Amino acid sequence: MKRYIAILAILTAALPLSAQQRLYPLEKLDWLNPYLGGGNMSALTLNCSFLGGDRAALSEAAAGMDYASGEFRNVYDPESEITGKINIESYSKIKKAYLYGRFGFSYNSARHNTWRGSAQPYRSPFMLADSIPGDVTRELYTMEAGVGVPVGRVSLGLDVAYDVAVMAKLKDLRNRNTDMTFRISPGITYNGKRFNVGLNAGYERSTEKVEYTQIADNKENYLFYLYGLWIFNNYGYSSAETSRLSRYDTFYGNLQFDLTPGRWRIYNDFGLSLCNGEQTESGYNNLRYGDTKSFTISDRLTVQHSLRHRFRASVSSTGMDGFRYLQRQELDPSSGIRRWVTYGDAHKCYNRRSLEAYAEYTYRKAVSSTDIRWEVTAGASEVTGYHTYSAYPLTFLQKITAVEPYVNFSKYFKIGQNSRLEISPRFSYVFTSECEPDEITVVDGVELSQSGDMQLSAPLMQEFNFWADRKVKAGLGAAFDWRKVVVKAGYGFTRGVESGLCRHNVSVSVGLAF
Amino acid sequence: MKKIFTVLASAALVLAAPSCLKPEQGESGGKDAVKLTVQLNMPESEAEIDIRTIDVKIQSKTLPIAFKANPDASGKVEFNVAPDKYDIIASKYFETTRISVNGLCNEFLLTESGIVGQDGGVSKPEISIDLSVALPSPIVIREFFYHGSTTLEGGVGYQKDQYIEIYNNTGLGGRTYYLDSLCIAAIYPYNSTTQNNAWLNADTLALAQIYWMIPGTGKTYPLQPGESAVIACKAAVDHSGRATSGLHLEKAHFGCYDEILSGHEKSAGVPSLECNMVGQGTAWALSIHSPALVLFRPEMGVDAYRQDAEHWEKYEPGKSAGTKYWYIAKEWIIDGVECYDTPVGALKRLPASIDASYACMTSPHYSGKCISRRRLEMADDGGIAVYADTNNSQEDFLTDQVLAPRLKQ
Repeated sequence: MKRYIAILAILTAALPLSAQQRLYPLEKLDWLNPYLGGGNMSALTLNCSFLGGDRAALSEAAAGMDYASGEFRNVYDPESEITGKINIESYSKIKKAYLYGRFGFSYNSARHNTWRGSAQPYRSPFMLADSIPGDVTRELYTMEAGVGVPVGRVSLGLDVAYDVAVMAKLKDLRNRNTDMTFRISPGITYNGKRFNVGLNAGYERSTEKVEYTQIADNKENYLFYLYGLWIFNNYGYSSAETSRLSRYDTFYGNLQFDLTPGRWRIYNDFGLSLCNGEQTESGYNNLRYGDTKSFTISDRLTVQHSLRHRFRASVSSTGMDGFRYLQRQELDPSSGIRRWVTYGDAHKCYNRRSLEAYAEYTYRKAVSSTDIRWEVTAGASEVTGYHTYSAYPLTFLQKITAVEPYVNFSKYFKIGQNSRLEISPRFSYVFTSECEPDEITVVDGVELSQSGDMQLSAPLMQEFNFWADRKVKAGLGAAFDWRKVVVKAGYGFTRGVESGLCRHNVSVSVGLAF
Repeated sequence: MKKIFTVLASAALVLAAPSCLKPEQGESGGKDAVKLTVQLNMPESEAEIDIRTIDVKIQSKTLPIAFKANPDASGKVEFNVAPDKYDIIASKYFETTRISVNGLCNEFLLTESGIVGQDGGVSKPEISIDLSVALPSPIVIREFFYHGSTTLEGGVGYQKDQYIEIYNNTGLGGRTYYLDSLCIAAIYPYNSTTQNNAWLNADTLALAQIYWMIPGTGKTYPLQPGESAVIACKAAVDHSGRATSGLHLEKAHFGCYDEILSGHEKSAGVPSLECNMVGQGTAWALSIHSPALVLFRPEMGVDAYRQDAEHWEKYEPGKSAGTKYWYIAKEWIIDGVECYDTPVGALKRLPASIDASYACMTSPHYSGKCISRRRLEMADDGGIAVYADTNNSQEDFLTDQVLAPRLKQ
């Protein structure tokens, strides 16, 4: 026992890790109810496998800390960052109603972050950003509530979530971003003996406001208007629009089915999502920086046999178009104010096609749903992205394809009656192929001249080199479970094969399951 | 059997989805282009000029892309371009005769349907440009330093060392030019990036804040061919101990100075220009980004102009209230230069007859670089240099140049 505690203490004190995970036992619930990975809260009524009898609730409260550092990083990543976070999550049952609730808070402090003009820089190709590295802090609050109620063979449910984040850069030019997301999704499930079908539809509204300020006098700083693939214009701070408002409306729907023939379980979740985004000035006079339309089709399949075998596959394909407008300022005679007036059709300038997919098989040596001795997962994931920016007669194209085979292993050591230690090494290698950083084509027969740079080549190449580099990833996680207390620690690193650069991450967390 | 079919169908869906993923290349590969016809009109009196030699350039106002072509004998030229916001610049300089031909169509919107007019109506994608033919000005802006430099202590931006050098460009055998009553001003808006230029394509131009006049009785300040006069815009003092520009503007020929402007300085012995406030402030707000500078003489004389507020002091076009501005007629302008940081999004303030294009600096603000007029080799005889003056600053000026003002010895 002392030996294991000593090992755990070393891991906790000295080793880094990946992002915080849900603590055992909640992270194991997917085996029992794969619906929980989706947003159909009517399927909470299927939680009777772990709620019922004398157990009316299953909850956990956890606090953790992550640290990441290293030169192998994407263009939006900081040199180093530390994140503290708490998460409280609960499944419960009151009379016939099955409930879910979650509250999370995280505080992130990042050192030398550059080009981070948006809390979610890949949500839109349009962004207002600056090029000066600075320390950035970000607070994030997340809340979600769900309810599922059985009505005969049908269950009805509702999911409501609200997230709000505030991000601030602490060096000129200073951006302050306020990011809000609200989501509501009603759902329904038909519960058969060996066959469940679920359907949920949802609406999500996201807004992000960014405002730039400068404190230092007589320092000339530039704001960059980015349009995708690092096509840009830049202006001195004093002569640029310094704030923007982004709005995104997402409509989505998911169809699930869950078959349980004998010891088999087959679950599938098919989803469609349509998102319309717009980016305008935060003021009143109609200046539009660009709109986006994106469509996502996704499917997630799980095939389980007994408690030991599980095959999972998932694919998500997204197409996004970016549009710019032709506008000019005109005097509004009634108000005496000059306002931007839009003419002609929106001009499609940007296109992104991306695919994320994985397939994996897990074998567990399981005595029962809670008594697992070891498990191994082997699989592969693929990420493919095509980005184009079109400005007649030029077309800019970037292609990246990455395939990542991986293997994860977990060994559980039972220690006495009430304790357990989990050791989880993992390893993966990322192959990349057909990568093209910036293929530029010109329509035949057109003679043009450029009067300046159109693309920011330094961040373009930093981003491309990060994604296109082959990578070695490895990590080691440990979890110690004593009665209702769980302590987790982990370390991981990613090394770029061609660049030779590394990034390390460590995490620790402690939680209480009850 | 049904179960097996269900599993296979699900797996097929997962595997089939990636096939939807195809790159979308060449989105603008022709289908988004609009045919734009430009018709150049040469003045009848200049019929001997071969219109086919005129260079026509269409410049996007949203991205740094431009297209060039030459017209046919009828003056017509066609472009296939994407819907966008554009300027068209037509220009040609004939070195042997020192005649320049220029034309400009300022900032127009080209949509898929055609050109958007001032009233919002859409017309055919056809543009007609009247060309103007001009001889070079006797006096020109030879060098203009507006970008600012950096303080030696603290390394912050410094802009008190801005200067203008004017030059008698009449060359060998040219005439003496008297600077007395010559006026210098920046045209409103202060910056080209301002998104509100109500004066676009107007015949009269609004002055920004101050216009300065060189004093004298009429023959007090002669400038011989090949001679320069340097005007310190804010401080005719020694800047060598203050800023990286190291300028000795205490040797400037003139200083923009008035006691009412607390932000200005001047060394003893440097003549002051006469300050005419047409706005507010404690210092001349000469943009470090993108000023439009002009030299002008009111045709009725400066005194008469000053006293005719009823005629020359007006509201912004389209407005009948708010701020009033002093205007000048474009015909009064002797020389001018339109300066940009970037042509993207820039609004033109000077007409084609003064400057058909712009001088575009790429070095950062406070870098201590200036624009300097290009010297003509073929006309440089007799020890008197002649500088390009085609009324097209892209051709006339070299940008991002090392400071070299011709100060008093």
